[in-house]
Amino acid sequence: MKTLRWLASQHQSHNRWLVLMTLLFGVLFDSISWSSSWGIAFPDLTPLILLYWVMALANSNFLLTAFFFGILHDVLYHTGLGTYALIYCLLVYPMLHVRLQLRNKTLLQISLFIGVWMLAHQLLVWLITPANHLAGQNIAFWLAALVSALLWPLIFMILRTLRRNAHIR
Amino acid sequence: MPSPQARSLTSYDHWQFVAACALSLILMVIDEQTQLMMQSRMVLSTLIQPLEWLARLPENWIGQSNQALTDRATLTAEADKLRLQVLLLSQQLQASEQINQENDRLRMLLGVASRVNQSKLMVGLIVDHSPDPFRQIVRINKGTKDNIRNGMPVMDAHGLMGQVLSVNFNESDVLLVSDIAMKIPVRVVRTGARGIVQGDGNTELNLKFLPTTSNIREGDVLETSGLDGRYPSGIPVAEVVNVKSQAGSVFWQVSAQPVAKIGSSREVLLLMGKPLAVESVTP
Repeated sequence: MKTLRWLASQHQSHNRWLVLMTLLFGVLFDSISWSSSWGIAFPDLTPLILLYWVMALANSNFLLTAFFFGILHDVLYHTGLGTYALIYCLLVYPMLHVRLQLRNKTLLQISLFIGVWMLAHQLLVWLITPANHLAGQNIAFWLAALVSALLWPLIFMILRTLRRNAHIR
Repeated sequence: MPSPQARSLTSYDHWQFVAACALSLILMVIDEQTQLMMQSRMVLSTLIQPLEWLARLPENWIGQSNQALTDRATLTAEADKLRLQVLLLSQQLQASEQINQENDRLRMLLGVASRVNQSKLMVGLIVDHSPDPFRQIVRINKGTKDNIRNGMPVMDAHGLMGQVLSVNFNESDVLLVSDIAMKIPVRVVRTGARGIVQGDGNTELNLKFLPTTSNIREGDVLETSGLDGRYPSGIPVAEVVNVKSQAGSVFWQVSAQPVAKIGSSREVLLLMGKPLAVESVTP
């Protein structure tokens, strides 16, 4: 019985790599250069993927993951070290409080909720990173929140399929 | 979203949040106010280089397939154009060699050393640009292995392009003159009036702190004054395109266009002088 339990835990920790891989994919996708300034209307995938895992895996708090991927984002985007780490932590922490209630909502309601959450993300980015004060004058920068809400069902479906196939709980 | 071990928040979670935020803030302050994090940033940047290389792949593939689809007629036309350019350039090269020799003789006569020593120049190639459309940062293919250091001035064939912002082993990031964080002390070539040029985050520059008592007009060339000890003096930076006076202000509102082809240059020159500080350049 003990061996079985140990094997189960190994299997689970092995599957946690998938969580990190999806987040790494998000960082990779975010670092792709967009040729048009309308490209900034496409939201960062990393916070969206992070929010999905926070909601889906209610047994972890993901604060360290948020911090680590924030630092990675800072190096990639030449923002001050710790800036995005702070933004991601500020984004994840309130989500930890509401994630259990969110499970009873419909996908459409969660999408709207994600839109509001990503608006807060854009607001934090605009307030904390001086270089983005200029980006804030562009409507496309704020549209990213709306696009996040529209994209959420797709992201949700893909990640849920991955999670179910990998038996991540 | 089922999770059998769903749990409510504990004080451990709260403390972890507070610790993560505090650490982030400390890192931000250290990175902003000191140079201590430069080494860590360099290591992290080198570590994530494979990741950036992967991110560049789709863009490179699109570029390569576009190139493969270029038809023969276009290539022939391009070859003819290039042949003509080679002829013109070789003629210009001969002329410039004569001018260089004449310049050297005159400098020797004046007893003034060359401001930019040719042996201290290195040619780099722009390989990428910042994924953030609101930052004016490009990446070049020279890094610490080529003795590149933070703060080194970068030029193209026309004038000052920017300054090395961060370096990793193989590559470096260059903050362009048009970035909003870039400030360069300059002087107006025609009158000698001094001011500070700041990027507007797009393609233009603004000349600041030039009193309305100074004489400036459209077409004036701005060059580095060399006052900050960071750039050698006399490097062309920008050309004035618009001069306005604002009611109640004692300074001109001057817009200028960078003389360096920051959007199209591929080869850049790095001035390999003594190590330079980068206190004023913050990302």
